[in-house]
Formats: sequence, structure tokens, C-alpha cells
Amino acid sequence: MKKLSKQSRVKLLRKLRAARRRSYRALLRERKTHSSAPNENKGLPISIPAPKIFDISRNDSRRNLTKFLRKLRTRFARRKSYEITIDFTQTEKFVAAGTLLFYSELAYLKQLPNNGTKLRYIPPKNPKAFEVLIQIELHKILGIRKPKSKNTNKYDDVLNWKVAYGNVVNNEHCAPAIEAYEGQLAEPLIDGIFKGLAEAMTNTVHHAYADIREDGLNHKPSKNNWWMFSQARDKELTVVFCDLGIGIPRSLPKTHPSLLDKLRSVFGKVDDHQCIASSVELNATSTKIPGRGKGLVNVIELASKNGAGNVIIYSNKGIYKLAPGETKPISCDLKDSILGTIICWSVRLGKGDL
Amino acid sequence: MKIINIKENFSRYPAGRYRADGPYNGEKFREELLMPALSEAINKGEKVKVELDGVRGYNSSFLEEAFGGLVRSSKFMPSDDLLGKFEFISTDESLIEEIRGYMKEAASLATQ
Repeated sequence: MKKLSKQSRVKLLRKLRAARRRSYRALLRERKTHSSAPNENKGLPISIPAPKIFDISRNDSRRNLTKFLRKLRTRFARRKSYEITIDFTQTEKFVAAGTLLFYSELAYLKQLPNNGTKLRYIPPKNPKAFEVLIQIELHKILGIRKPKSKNTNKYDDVLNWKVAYGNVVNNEHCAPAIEAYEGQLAEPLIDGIFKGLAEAMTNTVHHAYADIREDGLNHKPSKNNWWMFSQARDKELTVVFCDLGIGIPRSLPKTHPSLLDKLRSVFGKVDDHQCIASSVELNATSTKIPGRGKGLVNVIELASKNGAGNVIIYSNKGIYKLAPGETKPISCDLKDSILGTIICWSVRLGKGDL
Repeated sequence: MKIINIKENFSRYPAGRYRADGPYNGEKFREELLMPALSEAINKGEKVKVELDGVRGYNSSFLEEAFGGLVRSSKFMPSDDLLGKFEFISTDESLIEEIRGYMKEAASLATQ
């Protein structure tokens, strides 16, 4: 065999590399014409990275969380049956309200009819964040085996996360999560939380699912689902309630159309937080029709009457916050909608005196 | 005197307005406990004692439907007389006031 000169060898190698590049580009072109996501056509698992912080109280973290949830919904809506892996590797912190929104959204997606999507997750690197996922029993929603952890029972505040859910007005479901703190909370405060929960459940059953949620899935659940978390941390009990309905800003015009007209005449454009504030302010004297609701009076009672707890209402883009003993709330709109309503009560744990 | 202890005779967790809302709603309480007790008390010329303590957080929908709904049911006398047929027992005075308010409001709407 004739030995190639150095110049010829270089030439041949260049030709081979160019041929490889051409075939690789052709392969990429072919994939692009058949699908925007190559794994979908092949039926391979899709991986969706979870945000670093699960929180809805700040614009940046809310944006990351709602973007992540939108991706999940889109994947669920696109295919009837394939596998999604939620990648929590970078997740470091779970704040109660944001975590409940994610938990509720997953439970809602799993209830979609004729959807065989399989879910699994890659646990967070952060050991405490991983424990939170185990404690809220995410594996049960996903329908997978309980993951093993080396840090079981290591974090007291994680052990205090409790979950409840239902689709009717019944405080029995929430009782174990709240009554565990009897003796550490004054009776009026426990009553205040139960009152608020009952009111939130009643509103969910009567108004929240009156129309289709604007989430692109065009799905109206057959049941009036709600979800609840309680968490004790740093001597503070936080109770969070969530429904994935149309939100207060969309239900208010249906229940009180004249009120919205009044708001429009005052403000022009009515923001979501203004709808929440108006809904809270509705009371027996302003709604003269039996059965039309008394507003969210009981929801804020913990702060307004008992003067011992914070109440925050998140609905779509709006936030309404009432501090203990305050009469004037703080309210504003954030950039992204949570597509639902979350109510958050927090009280200091102590000896049970007011 | 006819006595209704809500915690013992109905539920520790009453909530919701209508039967469809949940198991311990105001409509059910009114129809199954409050109205029979009131009929019996009226026949005997007695009062109905309603013991409210020991229950976890009455929400407005439950109370309004139970007591305001009793006035609206129009099976009984005008509300002033109806209020006189009840004796409410609670350590929380504001709760009793709230119930009376719902009954009075329902009566005033009925007469409009």
C-alpha cells in the first residue's frame, strides 16, 4: 500500500471531518422538521427544571414558579401519555404558599381525564428541601414509591408540615393539622383559623369554579377542589388554603356586578388587588340578598377582630395583606397571575394566651 | 325547655350554607334540629335553649342560613317574637349578637 504524504493525510482528514459535519447538520435538520422537542417523538422522558425558590410573594420568584407551572401544564396538555421528570436539583427553599400552589397544580393535573402522563422527580441537592417533598408526600400525588432519605426526622420544622384536601365545606379534614397546636394557641385564634377556613371553603364551593380557568387546558373540574398546608416554624403557625378556580377578580363581577361598575367609575381600570379588597369589605349590610355571601369577613377576622395574626390573600395577580390589629390593608398587583386563590393565616405560637 | 347543644347534637365543625356544601351545613341544621325543636317548644309554650360553645369557628354562611333562614322559612311568627323564643348560651357575646343580627336582617328583608 502506498504511504500518503503528510499533505495528503491532512487533506483526507479535512474531507472526513467535513462529511461528518454535513451528516450531523442533516440529522439536526430532520429532527427540527419533525418536532421542536426531539424527546417527545421518541417517547423519551421530558425533564423540567424546578425553580430555586417556591414563593409567590415576590415578582422574581413568582415569575419563575408560574413559568415552571406553565411548562408543566403545557406538557400535560400536549401529549396524552408520556413521562415528565421534575428536576428539583437546584431547589433550595419551599415557602408555604408557593409550595401549596405547586402541590395543588400537580394534583389538579393528575385529575385531568384520559391523561396517562407519568411523573417522577429528581430530588433537590439541598437535604432540607428534599425532606419537605417527602413530608408533603409528593410521591403520593405522583404515584411513585416513597423516596429514601438519610435525613429523616432531622429537621423539626419540616416534620411540622401537614397537608389536607377536599372538595366540600368540612373543617373535619383540617382539624388534625390545626388542633395539634391546642395549648400553644389561644382558643379564639384557633376558632379564627377554623372560621377563615370554613369561609374559604364555602367561597370555593359557591364561586371559585363557576367558569373555566384561564390556564389553556379548557378543563372545568367536576369537583370543587381545595388544598391546605399547615406549617409550624420559628414559633409561628402558618395555615395556607388554595383553590385553583377563576380567582376573586373574575368571580366578583359574577356575584356582585354592580360593585364592579362602581369600582370602574372610581378607578377606571380595576386591578386584581382592588377586587380582593372590595370582596373583603363586602358585609351583611351591603349585600341585601340572602345567600349572596357576606364577603371575606371571616377570612380576615384573625387580624381584624383577634388582632393577633397576619392574613394574606393572593388571588390571580393581586395581593391583599392585613397585619394584626390593623384596619387598613396593604394591597398591590404583581406581574404574573397564580390562576387561583391562596389565603395565608399566620399566628405566633405561645402559651395559649391572647 | 328544649335544649340544642350544637357540639353534642350536630357537629363540632359546623360550616357551609346548603346541603350540597358539606355534611354539617346551615340548611341541614335548620331543618333537622332547629325547626323541629322550635315547633315543639311553641306547642308547649316553652323556649329553645341553643348552646353554642365547644364548636370550632362558626362561619357566617352557616349562621345566616340556619337562623336567618329560619326567619325566611315563614313557617313561624314574625322575627321579634321568634327571637324571644330562643335563649342563646355562649361565652362569646359577639356570636350571640351576630345570630340576632342575621335574624333581624332576614326579617327586615322579608317585610320590604
